[in-house]
Order: sequence, then C-alpha cells, then structure tokens
Amino acid sequence: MITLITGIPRSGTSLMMQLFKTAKADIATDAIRTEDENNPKGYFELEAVKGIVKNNAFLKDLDGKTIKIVAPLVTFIDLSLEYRVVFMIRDLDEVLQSQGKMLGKDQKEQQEKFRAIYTLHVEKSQQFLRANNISFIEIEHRELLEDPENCLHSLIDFCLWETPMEELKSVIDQSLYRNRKNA
Amino acid sequence: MSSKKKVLVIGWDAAEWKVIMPLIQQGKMPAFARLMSRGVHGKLQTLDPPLSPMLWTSIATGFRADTHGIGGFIEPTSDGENLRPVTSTSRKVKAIWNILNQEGYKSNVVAWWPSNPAEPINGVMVSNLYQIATKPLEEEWEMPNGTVHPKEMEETMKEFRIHPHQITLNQALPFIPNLKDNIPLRSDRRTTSVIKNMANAGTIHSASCHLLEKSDWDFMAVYHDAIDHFSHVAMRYFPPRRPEIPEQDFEDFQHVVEAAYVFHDRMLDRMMSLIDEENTTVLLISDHGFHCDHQRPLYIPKEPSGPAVEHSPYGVFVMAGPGIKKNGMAISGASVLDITPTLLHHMDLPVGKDMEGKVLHACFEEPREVQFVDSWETIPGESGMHDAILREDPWAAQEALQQLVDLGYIDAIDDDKIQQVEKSKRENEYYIARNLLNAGKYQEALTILERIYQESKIQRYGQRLAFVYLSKRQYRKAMEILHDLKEENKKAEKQEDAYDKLGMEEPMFLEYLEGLIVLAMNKPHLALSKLLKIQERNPYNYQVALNIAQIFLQRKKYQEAEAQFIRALNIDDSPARAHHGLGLSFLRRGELNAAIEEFLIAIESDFFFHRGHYHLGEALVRQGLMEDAINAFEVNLRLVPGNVKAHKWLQKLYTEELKNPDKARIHFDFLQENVRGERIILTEAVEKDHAKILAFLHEIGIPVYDAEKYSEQAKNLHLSAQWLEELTTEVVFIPSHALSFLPDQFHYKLIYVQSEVDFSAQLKTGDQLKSVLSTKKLAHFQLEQSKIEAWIDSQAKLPVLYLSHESLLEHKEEQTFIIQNFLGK
Repeated sequence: MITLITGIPRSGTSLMMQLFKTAKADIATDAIRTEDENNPKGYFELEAVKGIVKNNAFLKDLDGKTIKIVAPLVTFIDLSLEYRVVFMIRDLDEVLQSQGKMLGKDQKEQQEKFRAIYTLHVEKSQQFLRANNISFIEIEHRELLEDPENCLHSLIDFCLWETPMEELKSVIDQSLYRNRKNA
Repeated sequence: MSSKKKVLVIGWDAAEWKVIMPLIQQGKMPAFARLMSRGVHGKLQTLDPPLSPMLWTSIATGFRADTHGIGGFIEPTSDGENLRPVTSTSRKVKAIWNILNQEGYKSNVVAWWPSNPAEPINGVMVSNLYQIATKPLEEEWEMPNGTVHPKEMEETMKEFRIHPHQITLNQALPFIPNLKDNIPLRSDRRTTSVIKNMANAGTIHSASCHLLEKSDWDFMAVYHDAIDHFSHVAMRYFPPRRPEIPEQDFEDFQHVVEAAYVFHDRMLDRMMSLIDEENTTVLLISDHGFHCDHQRPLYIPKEPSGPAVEHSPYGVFVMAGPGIKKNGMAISGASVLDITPTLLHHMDLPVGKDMEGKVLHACFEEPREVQFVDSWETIPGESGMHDAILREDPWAAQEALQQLVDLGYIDAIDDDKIQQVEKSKRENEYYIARNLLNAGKYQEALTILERIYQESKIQRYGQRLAFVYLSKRQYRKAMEILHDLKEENKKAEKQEDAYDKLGMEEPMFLEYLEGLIVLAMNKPHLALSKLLKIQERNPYNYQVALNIAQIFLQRKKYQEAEAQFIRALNIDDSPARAHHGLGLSFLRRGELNAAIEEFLIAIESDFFFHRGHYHLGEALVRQGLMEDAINAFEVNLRLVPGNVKAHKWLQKLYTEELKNPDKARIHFDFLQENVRGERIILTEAVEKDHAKILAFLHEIGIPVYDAEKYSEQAKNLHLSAQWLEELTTEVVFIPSHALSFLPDQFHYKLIYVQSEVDFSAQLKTGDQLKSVLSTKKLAHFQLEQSKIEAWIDSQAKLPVLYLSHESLLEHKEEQTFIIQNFLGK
C-alpha cells in the first residue's frame, strides 16, 4: 500500500507530509528540493515524481511509503499497485495567491482561467480515484489550521495512526497560514 | 408511429458548385441532380477562416469558433509537450445531436470533424479517426481509443474499414487512367494520396450504409472529407491546364477531381436507396467551396493552414424532403451558421436565441413562426455530451501544466516543444481573431491580434492587424504597422525570394494594404495609382478590381468604374458587391433598367446584401414603379431597421403615392425620433466665390456657419460629421464632392448655386471661351455638376433652391425674397 498526499500545488500538501513524518510514516523523499521561504519546513518531494507522466515505474519500489504527488499528476499512477490517498482541499483564491507569490508574478488576469482549470483538476483527480476504487480522504486546509483536532481525528482514523494528538497538533504552525482569504 | 421528423445530413467537405453544375449538365452526377430537383438548393456562405474543424463545428452547433471552442486543427496533448488533432472534448457547446439526444431522438453520427473521442449519445457515433489506416494492411490495424460509441459496436464497425492497400488498380483507373501503363506513377506521392482518399471515403460510406440500413435512427449525420483532400491533391490539374502546370502532370492527374465527384455521386445514390425518401429530409452541404478555375492560386503560402487559400467562400446547400419546397428552387443567403437553427426548426424544436445563425424560411413549403429558447446550453437533460470533467480547454490546460513546471512540480518541458506548442497556440488565436473579425467583433479581435503580433512579429498577424486598424479608422496605427511590416519585408527580401525563385505571382500585399489605407484617408488619386500598379501584377485579383471600381465610381467616372466592375465579375461572377457597384454606376448615369437588373442579381447572389435592396428601391422610384420600390425599401429596413434614408423614402411614398397615412406615420414617427433636425447646405458645381454668397446671406439676415471654421471640417466630412451637430439654423457650405458623406440622421435643405449662366455667357463669345473655358474645365464642371445631381437624386425628401451667381448678384432684392421664402424666414 502506498499513501499518496495530493492536492493542487500550494494547497497544504507539504504540511500534510510533515504530519505524516510526525506520525512516523515512511516518507519517500530524496530531499533534492530543499526548504525555502515558501516551504520553510521542506517540500518532502521525490524528484522522480516530476517525470511521472512519462515514467511511473518508480512507484513499484515505494510499497509502504508516503509520497507527495500533486493533483493532476495523480492520474498518472501505476494502477497495478495499491494506494490510499489524502486529498488536500484549499480555497482556490488562496492557492492562486500563494502560487503567484512563489512565482513572483501577478496572476490576477489569469485568475479566472486557472480557477476553472484547477477546479477541473480536482474533479478529474477525484473521479479518477473513485473510478479505480482508491480510497481517499479530503482534508480542508483552512479547517486543518482552524480546527485541527477535528481534522486530525479523521486522519488518525483513516491512517490508523497511534501518534498522540498533541504531538500532531504541534506541527500545525498557524504562522504558516499566510495567504489567507477573509472568511 | 413516432411523429419525429427523420433527418439525414451529408457533409461533403469543399464541394464546389462550379465543379458540380457542369458535371450535372453532362449527366455525370445523376443522384445529386435528382436530390436538387426534389428540393431547394443554394450557396452556403462559409466563415473566415475557412478551416474545416471550425466550420463543421459551426455547422453542427450554430455558433462561431470563439463560442464553440474548436479553434483550429490541433491542440496540446494532456502532458502539454506535444500536439494532437483537435478533439471532441474541446467543444464547449452542444451539437445538434446533443440537443436531439435530450429531446429523446436517436442519432447516428459518422466521422464528423472533430468527433474523437466519440460522444455517449443515444445511437451510434463513429469518430473522425475511424477511417484512417495507421498501419500496413498485414499488421493488426487497431482503432484508436474512443473511435466508436457504444463500445459493443466496435467489432462490427471495424469490419467496414477499407485499407488503402485493398484498393485495386481497376478501382483507381477512373481517377488516374495512366496508372494502367505507367508503373512508376503508381508510387507517386499524389497517387498514394488519391488511393488513401478513396479508401477513407469507402470506409465512411460502408459504415454509414450499415447504420442507415441496420440501426434505428431519427437523425443521422455523415461527414466525408475526401472531396477536400482530392481537391488539394489535384485541383491544380483540373482542366483547363494552366501554363504553369507541367504537361505530363496534367495528363496524369487531370481526371482526379471529376472522378472524385462522380464517386461521391455513386455513394449518394446508394445512400438514397437506403432511406425512405418520402419521410426523410436530406440535407447535403459543404463547409466551403474550392477554387477550380482561373482563381486557383498559383502558390500555396508556406504557413500553417496555407492550403486554405484554395478554398472558395461558398459551399453547397441542397435540402429535400417532406415540408421542403420542391422542383429545384434556388434559395439565397444561407450561411454555415444557419444549418442547426434550420434543422431544429424543421424538427419542431425551438432555436437557441444565443445561436448565431438563422432559420432559412425560404426552404419550407409552409413557413411557421420560429419558437425560441434563451439557450440550449442551460437546459438540463441527457445530452450525450462527454462528462464535464473530460471537457476542457486544452490550451488553458497546457498553461496550467506550464504553471506546474514553473512551480517545480513536474519536469521542465523541452524548450523546442514549448515553443512549438506556443506557436500553435498563437496560430489558433489568430484563427479565432479572424473569426471574430468575420463576425464584426473588431475590438475583441484587435486585443488578440495586437498581442500575438507583438509576441511573434509574424507578417500575417501584422497584416490582419493593419486591416483592423483600417476598419476602425485608426489610420495612424494602420500606417505604423504597415511601416513595421515593410521594414520586416526588406529584411526578408535580402534572403532568398521564394516567389521570384518559383517565378510565381507576387502578392504585393503591402502595397495593396497601403492603397486601401490612403483610399480610406480620402486620397483616392494616390490609392488609384497604387492599385492600378498592383493590378498589372495581379490581374486576377477580384478585390483589387473592386476597389479600383469603387474609386472610379466615387469620382463619378462611370465608364471606368463599370469596366472595373465587369473585370471583377469576370474574375468571380458571384459576389453581390460587384453587381451592386455596377448597378449603382448604371443608376447614377440614368441607365435604370440595367441598374435594376444588376441590383436584382446582387440580391439573388446575397439576399442579405442590404444596400442592394436600398438602391433597387431608388432605381424603381426613378422608373416610376412605386409599389415595387416600397417593397425594396421595406426589405432593406428588415435588414437594417435604422436606415434613415429608407424611412425617408417610405414616408414620402406612402404619403404621396399610396395615400396610406397609417404606414406613412410609422416612418414619420421613426424620423421624428431619430432625425436630429434640419441642416441647410449650400453647394456649387465650381468653386467660384461661395464666400461672397455666404456674406450675402449673412447680410440679408440668414445665419451662416463660421467660414473660418468650416473649410477643413467640410473637406474632412468623410472622417467626422460630428460638427454638424453643433449647427442649428446656419447655412453651411459643403463642396460638391463631399455631399455624399453627409450623414443620414439629418433632414437637409439644399441651396444649389448653379453656374450654367456663367458658362452660357462665356459661350456667347467664342474667343473668351477658348481662353477661359478650356475643355478640361468644362469636363470638370460637368463632373462636379453630376455629383450634385446624383446626390439630389439619391435623397427622398430634399427641398432644393436653384440659384445662379448672376441673378444673385444682380437681382439682390428678388433673390432675398426667394431665399427667405425657401428657408421659411
């Protein structure tokens, strides 16, 4: 069984990876992409994922591990393997703001277009998971930060973690919630 | 028994009337002739650009490309790295079979472009990738994913495919008879294409016949691309041979096009034998035509979609069946956008108000009122479209993918590949911009063209951009782009000149553009010399001839204008503009019967050419045929309800001729609401001393427009007439050549200062005549006089006061009374 952490880029996938690390999950990362101001605690990525569209053979060696694969790429996984998936959901305005900041460009003019395409990516990825009977849990980014206990309970149930709640909660550093849209 | 009307649509890409009609006359297309004789037929106007995937989607949806989403031939693959043929999932709106699906109809769709992956409709859909042989015959020839819906029909449909290797020599001989003895010719690239097209057409036909015969259907659409492909391969060899075509090539391939049409006629015959003709409506259409005569281009631009220059602007339209007029009646004014609205109406379904086409009422024996819905797009139901998550804008998806690269989530795509995709994206945007221009949406097109030209500096984009600036009267910007293009061209000229090398026609496009810009800037003398020079090099360019004709017409040089209009018509005898221009020239010089005949041809060629109806009305008034004139003006107003001039004529004719005050009132009310008062115009045939006349008017208490201000504004009336708003009761001098630029939203009174007296006075003294009135001056005077008279004739209600210089200056008191009386002072 491989655990996939997915979601639109900048929807909290790295934060989720930190939670998995705290829960003593076996993280598949080569640490090639190191922490930076956008992800001060690291990206937890595996370089091979970048080439998943053409080659997904690396997944065969990841049984029992947890790996981050962003939303549209999740549809390229090897379906002969077994998976469970944590799907991060975040307000798309916040996602776009965060992406814009990371790229250092103003994306306002393209906001509508990207919002439509990201909505489609989420729907497409989830339909793919459903169609292939891959179980997944949705975690709302905002809820995880504002009401972590509730989310973490769901995660603990889904992943069968034994890590104490307080330890997991300590991972969620509210100060990282920077690109926040007013509720 | 079902009350649903059964409809069969057959698409023949690029089928051309100019090829079909002679073949019918020779008895070589009997099935087509029979279909025509059972129903109505006409030309089907294409859209620009005439690119098939866009057009067939417009045909199937009633929308243009900017709305339906199919913007060209290709789109990026889902990994964003490559390009693939455009797919059905990129279509954003419902096709007619989706509307019918949700209304409970059963449809079969075969090979429509684009239709891969096949849509999950109630019926059978066989996609446009079905007929393409991807492997040699001896290898397993799989169908691409999504070729057939429903999946259980795949095996059955596979059986109908014909591989090019299965085409026998005897089958190919009608296309290329020399294959019999010429062995090397059998491996010629053109021969291979012909064989491939035969196999593809045979495949589509076999599948269609099976579905026609064996499946249950209410609506069936079959699309054949073969005529277009045969024509691109071999129309250049179609008789008569042009000097540029090598004799041997002509000998080998001259029969291909004719054989292709005859082949399609045989297929049509078979299809007709499989339907119940009494109860099935058949529609045979093409998306555009194909130049088959002297208009065949001598060179194909080496650019994406370059071969589309071979396409002509009118396709074919034939409709026959229950409820459709019979006996081969011709209809006009049909566009590819009208097919879906017309079919929906025929099938007793409402038409979407958002659709861009119209119902072709002229086809129906008993026209009925059209029922509308706001939009079929918002009406829920099982439409048989792909699931929403499969439908996406592939170019936006590609951009989102690039965003992932930028964010570092996926591997960078090869620069070359990115450039290739971006280049293709710009090209698609260029097509959308052209489509927007074709719809008159200049501002939206401008936004796209400015950006893609800036990004790429591609000449075609710049040329189109300059045209848009020209249309929007932004002459300075048009000139700037022209300058830019000329500079680019100079650089290119230093490289090898493809046109010269091939000894081919040089398009001289930039000179043409410059000619049009100076013409628009009201410098017809400059434009004329440029255009005449261009005509020497491009004797078969219809647009050049037409523009030259318009200049001559504007300058009232009727003989020269008529010669150029006739020249344009010799190049292409169908366009309404040339017939209308010729008619206008006849009208202006009083050849009323000839004028009426030309206007009628123009209208027949394009019923929606509104100026044809208006000027027909004018000609009929002058012929004394008042009731017919009223009809012509009424039709004009249906097409352009705001045409003030037609309202003026109708008010006058209903009042004075038909004595119908109720009808007159309608137009009176319109004019009251829309005409912004009266303007008093002073003009004269030869500028003598209008300043003195204005001073005289001022002296007798008539307000006159500030003479200092008026001269530039009057001269530039064609650019702006805004300043006329400022006037109230002042008399303003307008030179004779500018009268035709006076806007319609005013009533006018004209004071026409004539000069005959002067000339007649001079004529009395022979010596003086020789010195003062040269032949040239006399000709100039007569020309100016004819301009004024032509303008007077074209006005429905124009009180005119004729004055002479002589009497004005010699009998001041009497003239003062006459003028004041005329002006109601």
